[in-house]
Amino acid sequence: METVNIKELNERIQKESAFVDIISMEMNKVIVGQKHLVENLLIGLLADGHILLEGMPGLAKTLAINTLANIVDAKFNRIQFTPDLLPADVIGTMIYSQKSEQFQVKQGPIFANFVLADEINRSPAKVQSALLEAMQERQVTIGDNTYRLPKPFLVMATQNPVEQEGTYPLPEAQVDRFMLKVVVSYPKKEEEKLIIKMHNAREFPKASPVLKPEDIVRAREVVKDVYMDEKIEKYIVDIVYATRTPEEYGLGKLKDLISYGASPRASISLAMASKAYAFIKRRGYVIPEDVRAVCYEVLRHRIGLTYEAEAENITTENIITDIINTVEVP
Amino acid sequence: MRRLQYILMLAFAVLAVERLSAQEQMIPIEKPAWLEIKESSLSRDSILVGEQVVWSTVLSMPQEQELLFAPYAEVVEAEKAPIDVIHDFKLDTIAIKNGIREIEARLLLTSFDSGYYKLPLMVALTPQGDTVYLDSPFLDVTNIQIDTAKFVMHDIKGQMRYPITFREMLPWIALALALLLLGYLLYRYIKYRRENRDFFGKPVVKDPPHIIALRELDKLHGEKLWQNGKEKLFYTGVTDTLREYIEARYGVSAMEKTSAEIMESLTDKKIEERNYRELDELFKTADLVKFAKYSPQVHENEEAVPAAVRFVNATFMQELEDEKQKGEEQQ
Repeated sequence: METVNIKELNERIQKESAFVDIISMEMNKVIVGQKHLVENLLIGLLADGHILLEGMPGLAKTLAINTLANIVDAKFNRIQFTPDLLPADVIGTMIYSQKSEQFQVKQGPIFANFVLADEINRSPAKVQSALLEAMQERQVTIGDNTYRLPKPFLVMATQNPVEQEGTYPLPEAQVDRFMLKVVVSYPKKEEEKLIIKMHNAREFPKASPVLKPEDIVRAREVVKDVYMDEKIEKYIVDIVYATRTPEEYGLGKLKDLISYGASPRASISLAMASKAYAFIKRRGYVIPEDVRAVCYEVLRHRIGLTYEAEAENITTENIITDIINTVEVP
Repeated sequence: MRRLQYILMLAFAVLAVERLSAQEQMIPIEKPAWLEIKESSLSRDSILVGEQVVWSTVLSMPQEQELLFAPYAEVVEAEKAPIDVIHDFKLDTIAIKNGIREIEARLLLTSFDSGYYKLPLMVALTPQGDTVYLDSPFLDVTNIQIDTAKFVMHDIKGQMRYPITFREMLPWIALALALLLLGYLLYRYIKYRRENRDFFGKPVVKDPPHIIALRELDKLHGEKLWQNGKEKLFYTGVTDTLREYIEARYGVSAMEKTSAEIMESLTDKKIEERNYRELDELFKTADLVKFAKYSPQVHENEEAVPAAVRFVNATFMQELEDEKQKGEEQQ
């Protein structure tokens, strides 16, 4: 039987998670508000999961990931997805060098620690597949050689929820590869006033590099060690199962609204994201609050709605709310 | 052995019928000396088409003798007589006197062809294998005389419906009564359940939430769980009891809420600061035990149940005071 020294683990996490406050502080220098976005960026970073962002343009999505890359002192690349983009434009290709009279590998923009795939649904499926495959495998094959992607590797893809014309929506199987789907909302009035002030100032604030990519890799190992009790595991499984067979949890009304429930990858992501959340909260163990805190981000893109649900304007968020209000907390 | 004998005799009878068929009406009436036909008559000499008539024959013979009658329906069929046998031979010994036995053979016949017929002969076999032919009476089958001058055509009559008897109705009545009874019992069960009464209508005494909680806490205290190293089970029991109590007392769905959410939902309730803080502490310790493998100190374990009891009692007393105050205000 596995023995866990919680006291020792707690002390270790207290020590290792000290940088979380520093990151938050540095991020807050540049990003006004969007606490939820910053928190989820950290969860994705620590839980080794990618993030799908949905929000209107101009909500500091690019700025947030750029700032995070600066803080971690890591390489950041932005890829603007367009209809004429090719897989080689993302992962790289072989080019012929006249000088050496040989084919040489030209690595694509995916070779970075932080990649922003802007408007991912503007490119056709072949480009999306190339990116998502690299996200999953964390390696890219160009010609005959396979290249490992750098660590840490975090992809943040954005989708515009309004414009649907000329887009290629991500298939369910590919959306499932994103650990979190974060919906970015508008800032509050006070926050927006502050944003104006910051931009009117002579110099725009800049985050300082306070971490090394190795620190993140080490922190990820600690996150994996965060203790998760069997009761929490059961709670996660119950929540995920309730998306598949809601009637077994007294949620018969949801049966006709859900076309498909969350996959086992959702259970894994929910567990990992809960651990990362506990780490951010500087705890060495997961409590039900942690699961509930990341539930919406992990599940909202993994539940399929029926036509009936769409006709009644029921969203996946409504379904998740019903589920977490019904499944018994341990 | 006797059975075999009868089978053989029956075979002989069938052969006799066939022989009779072959020879048509050429066979003379034959009977042994020991057999006497005392009576052979029809219940009616003349019948209308389709009416029924009984042919009754009384035979007298020594007691030790036996006769086996060939089925009359086969005889009729073999002779192709325009007669229909409704009931074949019904033999009945009507008297045994001085070693002489009297047998009555009865047949129920009808005919659908008009005419004056001599009925086919009765065929029987003796145990010795002799075939016996017995004389038969004449039958006059007449049609209904219709006066065509005065005849008026009537419409075809509908199917005659016999009145349904009580015996036929009885199973349906029983089924209807059973369904009515079942429906009534179901209605009563649902009604009583809603009114919080048992099956016989007696009100079910449901303990108030604080009594249930105190009973559960007392039970947990008696089980000595933490003393036996089952702290997790102990704290789960204590917090579950409190969550159920909070749910019943304040209508907060505490079983589906986390500790922090429960405490948040209790902020607007009339709970003394000291009790609120004590409950918060208890939930926090329980969460540590349940989710962080925390081993509480002995004094923490000893204090868990009393703290829970204090919260239950205090909130119950608060409710009593509120009710009293409300009553005074109404007066």
